[in-house]
Amino acid sequence: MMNMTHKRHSLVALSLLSCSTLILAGCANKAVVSYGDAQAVETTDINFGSTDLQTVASQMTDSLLSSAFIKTATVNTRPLVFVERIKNKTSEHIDTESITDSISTQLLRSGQFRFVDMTRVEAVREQLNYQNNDPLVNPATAVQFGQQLGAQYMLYGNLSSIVKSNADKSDVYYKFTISLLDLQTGTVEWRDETQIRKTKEKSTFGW
Amino acid sequence: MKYLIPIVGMLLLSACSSQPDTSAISVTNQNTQFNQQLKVNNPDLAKKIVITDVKTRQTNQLTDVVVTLSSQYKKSQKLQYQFNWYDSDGFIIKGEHSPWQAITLFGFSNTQIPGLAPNPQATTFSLSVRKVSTKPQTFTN
Repeated sequence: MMNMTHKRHSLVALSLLSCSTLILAGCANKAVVSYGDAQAVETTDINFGSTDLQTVASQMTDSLLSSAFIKTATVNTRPLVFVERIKNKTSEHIDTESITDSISTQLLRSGQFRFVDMTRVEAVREQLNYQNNDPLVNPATAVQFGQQLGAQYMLYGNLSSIVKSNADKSDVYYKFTISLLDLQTGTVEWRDETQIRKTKEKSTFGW
Repeated sequence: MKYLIPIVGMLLLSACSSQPDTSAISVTNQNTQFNQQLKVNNPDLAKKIVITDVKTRQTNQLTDVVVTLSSQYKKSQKLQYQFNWYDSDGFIIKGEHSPWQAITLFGFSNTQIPGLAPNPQATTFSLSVRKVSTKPQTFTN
């Protein structure tokens, strides 16, 4: 009789244990899909991420819009700018066009600047050729060659990084410099830089 | 045997409780008495940081703002902040939400958080400050 009770107890314990193991395993492996905040600070890893891109674009735009240069350059006019490129001098693959896209979008939204898009010159030429040379198009409505405006300023920059790591810690430092050059005089009218430091340390606790 | 169930329960709780606290404290400048506008959703965070000053001015026709954050805590705090901008009718300016930006506030130190309006129509703002979570965030209603 004692033996039976003992057996039943151990059976209950065993089934409880296996049940809880199954629950735990199920909890750990459950895949959850959800929408996140695209603007939230992201700390998935130490590489250049969305937060760095947004921070750089936002700080540089704010700096340009509050600079003394804007005060004089935007009197009765909206300066015409072309974006050259941001040179990626880091060891990572970074889509620097995405950074310049964000900066030019924010500058355009401010209403203080106009841009010419050098990445679409070939497409524009093709379209103008079609309008001016193809008999299908009414010549009176064709957009004429030689009417585009020339950019007054060039926006360009550099993104560089210093990466250091040891057994317990990784550290990455990004420096982003951006300049606005007056194409007529060749002078740099505005320049600013921003720096980002990220560190990754091994956590003592946690699983 | 009788201790098995609570222990398993605790394990379950600790395994699943990875939802970070994303509540914040925030301030708006619609009134010069900014303390009246201060909204604290996270009393724990409000014990560690205080908003001590809000200054605004016009720079190149844009509203320029600095908010002074003061630490009341001895250790460094990893925080993030976000400005939202509104026009004179109180409408939020869409697509202009500035990103949450990370900031480290050292023990008992002050720091000024700068914000610039995205365009001349943006006249009022709100600033939210919350802790940086190192865990993935999910948003529920």
